[in-house]
Amino acid sequence: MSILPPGSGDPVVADLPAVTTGTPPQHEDGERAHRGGALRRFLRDPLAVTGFAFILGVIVTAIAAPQISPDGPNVQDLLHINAGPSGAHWLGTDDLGRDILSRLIFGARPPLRAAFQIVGGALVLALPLALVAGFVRGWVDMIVMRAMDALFSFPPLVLALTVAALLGPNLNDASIAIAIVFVPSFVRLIRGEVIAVREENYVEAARATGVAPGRLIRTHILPNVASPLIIQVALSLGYAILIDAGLSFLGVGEQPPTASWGLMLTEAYRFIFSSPLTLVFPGLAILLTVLSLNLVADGLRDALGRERFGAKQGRLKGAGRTVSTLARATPSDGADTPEREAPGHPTNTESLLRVEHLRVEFATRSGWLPVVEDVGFDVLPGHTLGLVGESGSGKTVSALAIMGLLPRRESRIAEGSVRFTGRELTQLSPERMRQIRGNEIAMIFQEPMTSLNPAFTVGNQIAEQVRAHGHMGRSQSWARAVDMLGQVGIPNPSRRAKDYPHAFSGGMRQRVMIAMALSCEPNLLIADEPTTALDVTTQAQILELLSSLQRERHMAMIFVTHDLGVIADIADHVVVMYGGQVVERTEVAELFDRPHHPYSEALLSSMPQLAAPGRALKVIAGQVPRPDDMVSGCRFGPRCDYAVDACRSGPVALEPVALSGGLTRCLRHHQLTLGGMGQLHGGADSAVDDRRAPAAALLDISGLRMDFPVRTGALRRVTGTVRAVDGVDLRVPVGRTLGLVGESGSGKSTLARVILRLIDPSDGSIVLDGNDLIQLGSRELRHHRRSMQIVFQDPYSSLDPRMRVNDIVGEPLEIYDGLTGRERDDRVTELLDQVGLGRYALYRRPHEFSGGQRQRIAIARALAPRPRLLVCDEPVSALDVSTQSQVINLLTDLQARLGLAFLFIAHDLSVVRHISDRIAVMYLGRIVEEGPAEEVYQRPRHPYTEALLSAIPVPDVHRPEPLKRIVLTGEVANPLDPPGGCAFHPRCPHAMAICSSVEPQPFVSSSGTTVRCHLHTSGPVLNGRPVTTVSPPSGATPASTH
Amino acid sequence: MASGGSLFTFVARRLLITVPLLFIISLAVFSLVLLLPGDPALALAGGLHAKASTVAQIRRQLHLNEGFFAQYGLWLGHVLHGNLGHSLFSPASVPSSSVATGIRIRFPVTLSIAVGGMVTAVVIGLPAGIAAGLRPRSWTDRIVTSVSSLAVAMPDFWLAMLLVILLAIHTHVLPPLGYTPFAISPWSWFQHLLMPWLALGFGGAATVARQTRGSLIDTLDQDYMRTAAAKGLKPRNIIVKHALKNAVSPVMTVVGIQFGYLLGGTFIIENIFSLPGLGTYMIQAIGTKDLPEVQGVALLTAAAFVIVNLVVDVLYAYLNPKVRLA
Repeated sequence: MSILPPGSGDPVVADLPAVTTGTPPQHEDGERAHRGGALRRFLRDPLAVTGFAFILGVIVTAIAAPQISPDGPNVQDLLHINAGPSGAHWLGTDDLGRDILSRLIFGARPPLRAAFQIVGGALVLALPLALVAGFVRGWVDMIVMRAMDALFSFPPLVLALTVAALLGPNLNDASIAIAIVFVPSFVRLIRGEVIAVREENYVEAARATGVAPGRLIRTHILPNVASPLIIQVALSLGYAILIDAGLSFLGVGEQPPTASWGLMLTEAYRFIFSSPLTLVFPGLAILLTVLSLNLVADGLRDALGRERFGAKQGRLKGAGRTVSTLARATPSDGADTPEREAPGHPTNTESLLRVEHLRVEFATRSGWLPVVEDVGFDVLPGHTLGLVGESGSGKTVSALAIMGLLPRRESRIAEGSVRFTGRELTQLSPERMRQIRGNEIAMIFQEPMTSLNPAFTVGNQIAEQVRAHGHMGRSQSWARAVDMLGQVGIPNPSRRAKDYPHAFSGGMRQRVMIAMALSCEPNLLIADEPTTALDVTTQAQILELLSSLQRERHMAMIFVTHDLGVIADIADHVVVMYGGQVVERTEVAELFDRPHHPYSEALLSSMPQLAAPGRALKVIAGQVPRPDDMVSGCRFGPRCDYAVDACRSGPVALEPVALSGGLTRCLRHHQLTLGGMGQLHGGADSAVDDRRAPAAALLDISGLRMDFPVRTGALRRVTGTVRAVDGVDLRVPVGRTLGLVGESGSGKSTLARVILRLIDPSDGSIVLDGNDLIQLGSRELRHHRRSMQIVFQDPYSSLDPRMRVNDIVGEPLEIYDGLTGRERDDRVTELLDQVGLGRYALYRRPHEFSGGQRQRIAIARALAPRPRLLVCDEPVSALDVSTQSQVINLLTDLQARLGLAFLFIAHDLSVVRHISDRIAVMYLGRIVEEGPAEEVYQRPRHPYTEALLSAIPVPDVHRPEPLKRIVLTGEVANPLDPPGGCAFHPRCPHAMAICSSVEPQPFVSSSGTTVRCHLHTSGPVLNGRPVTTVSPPSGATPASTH
Repeated sequence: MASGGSLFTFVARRLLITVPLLFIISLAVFSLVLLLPGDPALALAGGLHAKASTVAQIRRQLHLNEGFFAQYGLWLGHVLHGNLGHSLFSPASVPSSSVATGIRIRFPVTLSIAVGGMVTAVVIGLPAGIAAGLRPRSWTDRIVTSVSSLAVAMPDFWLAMLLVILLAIHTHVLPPLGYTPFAISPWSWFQHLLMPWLALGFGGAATVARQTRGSLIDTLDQDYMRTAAAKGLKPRNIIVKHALKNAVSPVMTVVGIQFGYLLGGTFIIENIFSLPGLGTYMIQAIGTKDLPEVQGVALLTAAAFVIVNLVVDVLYAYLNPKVRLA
């Protein structure tokens, strides 16, 4: 099992126990449990089960009508015409003296038969059309969909009526024709699902594996389309029964004397004045049958829907029920918090916000579950408190608790106090709290793309906040909004204020959020991971903006983040959270120099920023515990290298650290001497760069171009092209790693997809091991695909949620090696073992695994065809810091053992540096610099590389002055209208006259770096000196990383 | 950015899609003749026992000797001039033998039933859906959800008959059948249409309520709702401004589609209340296999449906700036 270099602990195993906390169950049990998942959920829904039972009853009754029915449908009892219920005729008789109950029983047959014929016919027609349209797209799709639009334009009953009328009055003949009423909705549904599924990473991965189209549809697309389709079928059956009844009622369906519910209504209607009761029964029969079908559909939707999204556990969102009622429960006996008085506060009197012993609980099936416990900290006026921790540590919950934004019914503040400028926030009335929110304490969130309301202009959204707190009237508040937009650096604010959020990029939207948050001049700003979703260059801009606004306004800030680099950059004090508790609280410099909690040390050591190239990253074993799975002792204990028996015995209190003024929640803090930044990463610079000797090219790309047509205007004409990839030349040697970096929108992921031939390039060549992939036909291409596999960024969408791990990883084995059954599973087990997962994973489905484990499964699948090249498209960006290092170590180890070559795409330059032999930097579809990894890092030659490097938040707390970083102005240019000459020139701090007109040609330096920049090719332009590296001329800080 | 997303371009683009769509619809309607078994003229004239002269007359009137596309061309040319042909069986001297005239007389009746039903559906369904969506799992929500499940499953013409029994036969609150034009007596017009509206609107209201509820619950879970709360807006303002505008706009599309179901429902309801609309006209035409009349009605209802959905789409785009880019 131990596949990692010695000295790294046993991190691979450590990631495992998320699946079950106890012993791995027998896989047979597991298997049965999963197969029954949806069915069990369905059976637990009483309404759905009742509906299903009723439908079954109706079907059985209809089939067995001759045996069950008291009379024939047309037997007349002329002595009792239009009689009421009696012993002989339980439901009475109709105008011809026929027994209503018997007619009702026989009358179920025509509508049921018609419904099944109609819906079945519709499915037979729709399925191939939709699959072809969704799979082939293009012209076929357009024609099919326009035809469907036309069919859809007929009100369904009118269409049925017309068709039935012309085909003759016998509904049996017409039912197939009426099926076309249902075809459009089926086609739309199936096609929509096919297209959605096709864009899932797991389908792309399957295509990259070489799965042929037929198999792709059969094993990946159809099963995923099936659930919504079954639901639609149930609903359609109900509607078909209604249509059948309607047509029969109008006399164009079944004809008398057939017994059918619709006809019975017609006949009863004639005697509505004399015997209205006869109307009731057939109507009820229709109503209950259709209702049952709808209930079954609802039940199916709930049961099947959950499977697909089961993995994404409910994200905490304050959302709608925000009218905060802060439930205050009886304080607990304090067993968990033996140390009630937390000493070591910074000078108490001056704190702006003080949180003490905060405990937040969430409602679960087994009662209230504490998610945040004994959290306390102070925020001083004008200072920044950093709140740092991995996902699930309770950072965001704590922040929302301060704001009174916890979801009302699902959560409560069970204990603790939040004092803000002398007021106890947990005791305030909802209205008083509202007056503070957004006015005195403001908050910005992680997702700028979804945090603004799409239906209102940004100016409106800022102005309404100013008005809500009664500061200004309508016109003044608008002026204020424009002013604020200007202050956060949005160009042309008076015009932009009238734009809707979708007209802004992510970075610009975060600026709008900041403008909004600061519009009422709050004393405290809570920023919840405000830069996590942004590019590193944009992050640098936003951080700088926040710092300068904070300085101007003397505003306090709580900055929530998982990135210690950002903390070092922006915070004065820091609170490290783990498992819902504060584990260390101290000044920033102290944390980085002398951490007093093993978790803090572990976080520092796993930062990829400063890891020595070529060495395994430090990892924290295991993963963040879930709130319902906390150990009774020290919560970090199970993952702690220093844990002793005493750590497991009971809760640990937060204690002051001698001589430091900080607090730590560690029993052994006086005994341990933990390593700070200096010790942990000391040797990095002097580490010998033992990069390996050059190797022959495995992948050789030249002149690769990918154009996407752009359609605009009312006619959707092609008015231009986006060059997503524009003349790229790259080589990946055998067994080596090429890192590819660039901001989002630079074309990295498109390049990956083109290389894998998931999309067809416009021009250029992709030579893999001597074969030009562009020249290959689709059959040959499939054969060659096995040498080249991909691992995607999103561990959630890259595995088919309906397949078990043995099928996911085993699929390539079936295709290429013809392995089946036991043989295949044995090989899958070997592969799982290689990525650090055990045999127990074999029969499980993806949603049972954590993000890191899923990424391991994705890697196992990619390894299955024994590839020689692995394209990794941001494989660790979605993972927590500690999991990230585990996966990176796994990849480096696999490379060493299997001789794999990697094309490693990332926006995180630190990770790329760590893993790569060479690095290529991409901007607007072009490679602007390419060279040996250390060379590119130490001596960047392109101004863009230099800016990217400079934007990395560096955890150096001992800077003499605020970091002089090269913050790029503006954003990546619009790829529709790329700037002439060098595409980077509008943002380049070194731009010269020539840059805007002439595109720079590649220049190869003596150290083997290729750069496209006029600073290097146009000779001695700056100060009469030949330019070798870019940094000195403008006086910017050299971008070495230390 | 602004130019690409203007409402004008959006409307222009939707119109450009609508025009060819109308042509495809006209082709589909005309192709109905192909559904007739055997010799169309013979089938229309009443089968094997038809008089030879009638068969010949029908063949001449419908140009059945020409090729299919020539027939279509002739028919379409007339349609574009507002001429939907003549009834096969009424004597040409009767004004309503012109299909266009027949439809023109009856269309307002059908339209007022369908639009009234739609209004009923929205007026009942929207508030009910909002009440349920604001407090999922409350009693209000349970009642709205159960009643709407029943209403969706209920055949509208059955409900119409129950209403007749209840309001006209038992209590004489409303007239059981018949129609008075609005111009003659608005009150009587209203009385005669109230039951059809309720019967049609009830099922529509259920669909609207369910959709509104779901959409509101989704909206309340959006990140921007948390932002609105974090801004310190008043709770009512958060719901009314930030939630409802986003929640209600997708409901509009449903209302548009629902209009089609209502138009269809109207065809049955008219026959129950003896209302002189397209439904009763169509049923007569079907009885006699009067092809031009059937085609005329089908074409017109489809066109009406398309236009209603066009209007809905434009309104939707007006409410949702983002949609204009799609």
